[in-house]
Order: sequence, then structure tokens, then C-alpha cells
Amino acid sequence: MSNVLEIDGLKMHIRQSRVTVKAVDGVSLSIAPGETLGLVGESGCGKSMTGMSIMKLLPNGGHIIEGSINLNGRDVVPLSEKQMRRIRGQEVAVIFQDPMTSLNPTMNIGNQLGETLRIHREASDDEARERAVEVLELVGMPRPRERLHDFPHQLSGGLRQRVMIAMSLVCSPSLLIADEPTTALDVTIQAQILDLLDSLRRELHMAVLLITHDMGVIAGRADRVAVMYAGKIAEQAETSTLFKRMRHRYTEALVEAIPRLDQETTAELYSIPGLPPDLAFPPKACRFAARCRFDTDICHQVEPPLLEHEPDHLYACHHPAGVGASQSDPLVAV
Amino acid sequence: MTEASSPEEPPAAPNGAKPFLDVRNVVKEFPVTHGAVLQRRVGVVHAVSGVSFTVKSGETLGLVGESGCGKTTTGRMIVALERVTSGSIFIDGEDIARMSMRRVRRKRRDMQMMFQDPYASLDPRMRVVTILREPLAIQGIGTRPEQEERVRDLLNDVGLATSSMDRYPHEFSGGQRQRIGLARALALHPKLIVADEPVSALDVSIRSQILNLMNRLQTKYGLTYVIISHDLSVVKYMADRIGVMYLGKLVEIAGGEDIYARPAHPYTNGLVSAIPIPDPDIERHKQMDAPKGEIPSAINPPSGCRFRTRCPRAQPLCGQVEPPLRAFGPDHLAACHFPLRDPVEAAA
Ligand SMILES: Nc1ncnc2c1ncn2[C@@H]1O[C@H](COP(=O)(O)OP(=O)(O)O)[C@@H](O)[C@H]1O
Ligand code: SF4
Ligand code: SF4
Ligand SMILES: [Mg+2]
Repeated sequence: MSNVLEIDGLKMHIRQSRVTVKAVDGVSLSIAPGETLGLVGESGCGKSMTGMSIMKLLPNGGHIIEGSINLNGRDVVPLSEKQMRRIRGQEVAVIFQDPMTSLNPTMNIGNQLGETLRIHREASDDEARERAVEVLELVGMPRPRERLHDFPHQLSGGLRQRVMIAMSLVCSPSLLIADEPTTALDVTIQAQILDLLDSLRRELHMAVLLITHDMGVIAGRADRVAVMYAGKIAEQAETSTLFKRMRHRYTEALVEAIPRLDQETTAELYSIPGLPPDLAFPPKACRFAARCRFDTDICHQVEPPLLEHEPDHLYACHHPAGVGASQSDPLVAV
Repeated sequence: MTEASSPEEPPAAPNGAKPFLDVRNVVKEFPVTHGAVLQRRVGVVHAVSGVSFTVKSGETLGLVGESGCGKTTTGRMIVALERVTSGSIFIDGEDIARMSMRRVRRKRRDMQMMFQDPYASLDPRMRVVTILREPLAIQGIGTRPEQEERVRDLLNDVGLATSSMDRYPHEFSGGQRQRIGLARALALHPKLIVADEPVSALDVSIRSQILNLMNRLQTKYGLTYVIISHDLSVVKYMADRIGVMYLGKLVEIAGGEDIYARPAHPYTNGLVSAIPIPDPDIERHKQMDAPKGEIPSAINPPSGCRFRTRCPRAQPLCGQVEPPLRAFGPDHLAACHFPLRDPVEAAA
């Protein structure tokens, strides 16, 4: 079956008064129907801006300067704002970390859901209300009919996120972008919301772009993973491949820096020195080189290309982990 | 015997050593008022409802639980940013719950707080040197040059350049700001630091820098830590023992491995199972016992065991009788009528 989403060579730069932030700098991704692609990386690496580029909801000064974004076979890059308004909600919807930013605080839940429905479809008041109850039921809202009269602030963070998911599902989009949907929630509620997203994806055969900084969430929920660093994809593979055979030294460092519940850790945790680069002035060669334990001269001179070095496994690293000690591990080689 | 002794006198720990921090049956209630002008008291939030634990000198205790379980309030009471409704908090043998505010202010040198969002807790209009000098100035410690010397030492301790002194908080990254927050907490040579979500606002790659730094400083200065976090992985890495709180109660307390691998309380078990492990082989095959539903309101907590509305093992008894803390091994207590493991027999 053809992919719901195919992004090819996307560059989205943000022009500011003095500098241009290269927030997304040559990203290619695809997601099949019913598939979850995890997009993981540190904050500021361009995950959200990739998601917002698909919606074409760009910040002030933001422009897509190169590349295509095919959604159900149609490139949305050249589309007008008016055309995009139809596509948002119908074909692609987004949920954020803080649902309050997208919910109207002065409107009750029933009216908000009804309004979303009426924007996209002809529906009478009664039909809208029934559909609202239906989607609230679908997202596991307890006593949905009573909730129609509640305002967002009367709900807990977890219930608000359920309402947000309900709003995004009203028009059955084929792609759902979930940008850190559970970062603000307790782990117990996170598990519930991620279960919900999983079951909705399966039932509705939706494609999901799951944006997160949490490698644990990726391990449990993503079919495939793209690791992003400084505006670019560093590594991409099927989830179990990525964790079993991580190649890029950034992926490796990211996982090593997390304390793990299932491991007795007595030694010092590995920590990645320094900070990600300023995307107004990204390094010319490997963007991770300044923080990498395995960098050699070539890393600072030549940008490693993102290539399919192994079947369905792409990475951009001159000294990948676990690929023959002599080339992969320069520390061993010298 | 210990029960009968004066409440001013902390009991000796089983091994004879006095704990550095001894929290005993602490209660905190916040009134709920209604009306803007004539405030009527309409109820009470039971934020902390009879919590007891001890922490030895140089030890790290972690406190975990869902938001609203009372961990931050407990931490704030330990540093006297919040006064207790009832109960005692002995720090180094002195009950701060019974001290006058004036004595508490002097005692506060010994116990400091580190906050989640260093940005919100650092005055944006102050230079770093002023921020770090402030606690010394308030306590009237040293001359100005001596204070500035101390600021240089502090910056050195937390791995920041001396040139940071003349800069403002916004000029620093999140991790660096948390280093400033840690330096400020250290300014008065405290013995105890309560760190409330110290790394939650930071990126994973930066977190371990701060955690390692906290560990190094603990060794260097013999600090006692209470680390509060919703992230059990962070707490397990840092803490010698972990207390699990639920709706104002301490439901289980034990060493990190016991909490993770041998929990007795169904809530601890559920909390542990909800934490995603960065390994697909484990994460996809583990048993998920994450509690269903949400934490109930602390205004009207459930009778008996407060966890019963979400507990998969609940029986009628759980609604009638509050389960007491029982021993499940050395240094392992849990409060449940139908625990996942057998309690150890009370010593004859
Ligand atoms: N509204 C905005 N205006 C200007 N720059 C922005 C805006 N939002 C994000 N950026 C910049 O774009 C880059 C990528 O950010 P983002 O996509 O938010 O990363 P992530 O989601 O991975 O945390 C960063 O350098 C960030 O500072
Ligand atoms: S290319 Fe070099 S610097 Fe970049 S991640 Fe690989 S080893 Fe490190
Ligand atoms: S006392 Fe009862 S309700 Fe409470 S945790 Fe134990 S089994 Fe569950
Ligand atoms: Mg983001």
C-alpha cells in the first residue's frame, strides 16, 4: 500500500532579524497507513518544526525552501493557506504536549467538538452532539455525555489530552502528528494515553508521527524510528534493529546517558558534554562532532552522508558503532 | 518505650545511630476557601496525611509518586518553606515543627531547596554574583570580598567559569541554570538538600551531567539528599532508599532494587510497570499493571486504603480499615492488606 506521508529533502528555515535558523535541514521520512514512526532527539533539534511543516503551520519567518511533503499522494508544499485549511483536520491532525494551547478555555467540550465537526462537515446540532459523544467514548472518556458541559480547566491533564485526541479524530485524519503528547503527564497516565493512541491507530488504520525525547516511549510504541540531531536525521531503522544495532554515535550516546530502571547503576552515568549547536550556525561537517567521543579529523571536515548502509537501516556517521572494530572504533584503532 | 518518650526527643534508630532527618507523622492540610471577599472555608485538602520516614546523614532518599501525591509539600515542610499542620520534623535532633519562625530562619542554613525550574527561581534582573551572594548577605556571613570569594568557590564547585559572575540567568542554558540553582543551595554549607524535580526540565543529554555533579558534591561535602521526582529511573539511580507516596500517604519505602524488583504494594508495582524501558525486547513483553483511572481528589480521599479506587487487588476490608505499614524485609515497609509478597513475621 502506498505511504500516507512521504517527505523528501525538506528544508524549513526561519528568517529572523539577523540570522536564519536552519530548523529543518534536509529531512526525508515516510509513514505507511497504520504505522507509527517515532521521531526522537533533544529539544531544539527540529522535531516539532518537522511536524509543523507537514501541517504548514510555520512560525513567523518560517519558509519551506526546498523539498516536498506528499500527503496521500499530493504535495502540500505549493498549496495555499485556504487549501491547507481543508487538509488540516481532514487528512492530518496534530496533538501537543499541552492541550490547553489548542483548546478554547471559554467554550465547553461539547461545543468545541461540535464546532470542529461543523467546520469540516455539514452537520446539524443533534448530529454534532451525538458524534461528539461518540468520539469521547472512543477516547475512553468516563461518562462522556456529562462531560459535554465541562470546560477544559475543569479536567485533569490526562482527560484534557483525551479531549484533544477526540478533537483530532472528529474527521478521521489519515495522519496523526503527536508532538510530545505525554511529556507533561504522569507515567501512569502516559501509559493510558499511549495505549489509547495505539488502539486508535489500529482501529482507524491511521499513520502516526510520534515525536518524543523519550527513548523508552520509542522502544515500546514505534514501529520505526528516526533519530534527529541539529535539523537532520542521524539514523533511521526499524525499532528493534535500531536498539539492537545502533550505529550512529549520537544515538548510542543518547541511550547511554539515560539512567535505566532495570539496571543497577553504580558507575557514573555517561553524559554528553556541551550543548547541541545553534541552528543559525550549524557545523559544516558532522553536526555532532563537537560532542562526540569518537570524532576524528574527517568528522570535522566531511559531512557523513545519510545512506542505507544496511537493509532498511540508514545512518550518517563516519565511525559507526559495532561495524568492525578497526573502522568503527577509532579509539581502538589507534 | 519510644512511644512513651517525650515528643521533643527523637528516638534512636535500630542501629543506635540517630537519623539526620526524622519525619514523624507529619500532616499538612490546606483550607479550601470559596468567595473572593468573604472567604468561606468549604473544605480541606489533605495534602500530607501522617507520613513518617528517616534519612541517615550522607544518605539519599528518593520520593516518588504521581503529581498531587504530596511529595513536594513534604519536601517544602522539611526545609520549613511550609509549616506542618501536625507532627514533627527532627533535623539533626531539633524539631523544626516546634521552632519559632526566628529560630527556623537561622536553622534554614542547614537545609536548602533546589527547584525544578531554575529559571523561575532565579531573579532575572540579578547578576549571578548577586544571586549567589544573597543568602550570605541575608545571614550576615562575611565581608563583601569574602562573599565574592565564596561565590567563586561555589561556581568552581558546580563547574561554571568565574566569568559567569557578571552574567544574567537568561544568558545560560537550562543545565547551566540548574548548576546556578545548585550553587545557591550550597552557599551556606547546608547539611541537607531537598531537590524537587531537579532534572525534569532538562534534556536527557544534560540530565546526567547534573546528576553526576550532585553525586560528586554529596561525597565532597557529606550532604544528605531528599530527591523528589516523578521519574523513578532518576530516583533509583540517585537514591539509597525510595519512598513511594500516594494521595498524601507513604505507601512503601525500601531500597531501590526492592522497589523495582520486589515491590510489595500494588501501587508501587503499577508505577514501576508504567515506566518505559529503552529496550524494545523488554518494553514490548513486560506485564503492564499501570493503575487505571486517575488519582482521586485530596479533598475527599477514599476511606480505608486511599489506593482502593484504582487497585486491582482491593477487597471490602480495604474500604474499612486503613492498612498499617508492615515490614517486608530489612529496611522495607509497605502499607497494604493484600500485598504482592508476604510480610516478614514480627520479631518474637
Ligand atoms: N517560533 C519559533 N521562532 C523561531 N525559532 C523557532 C521557533 N520554534 C522553534 N524554533 C527554532 O527551531 C529549531 C528547532 O526547534 P523545534 O522544532 O522546536 O525542536 P524540537 O521539537 O526538536 O525541540 C530550534 O533552533 C528552535 O529554537
Ligand atoms: S561522524 Fe564522527 S563525529 Fe559524527 S557521530 Fe560519527 S564518529 Fe561522531
Ligand atoms: S490495601 Fe487493599 S486497596 Fe490498598 S493497596 Fe492493598 S489491596 Fe489494594
Ligand atoms: Mg518540540
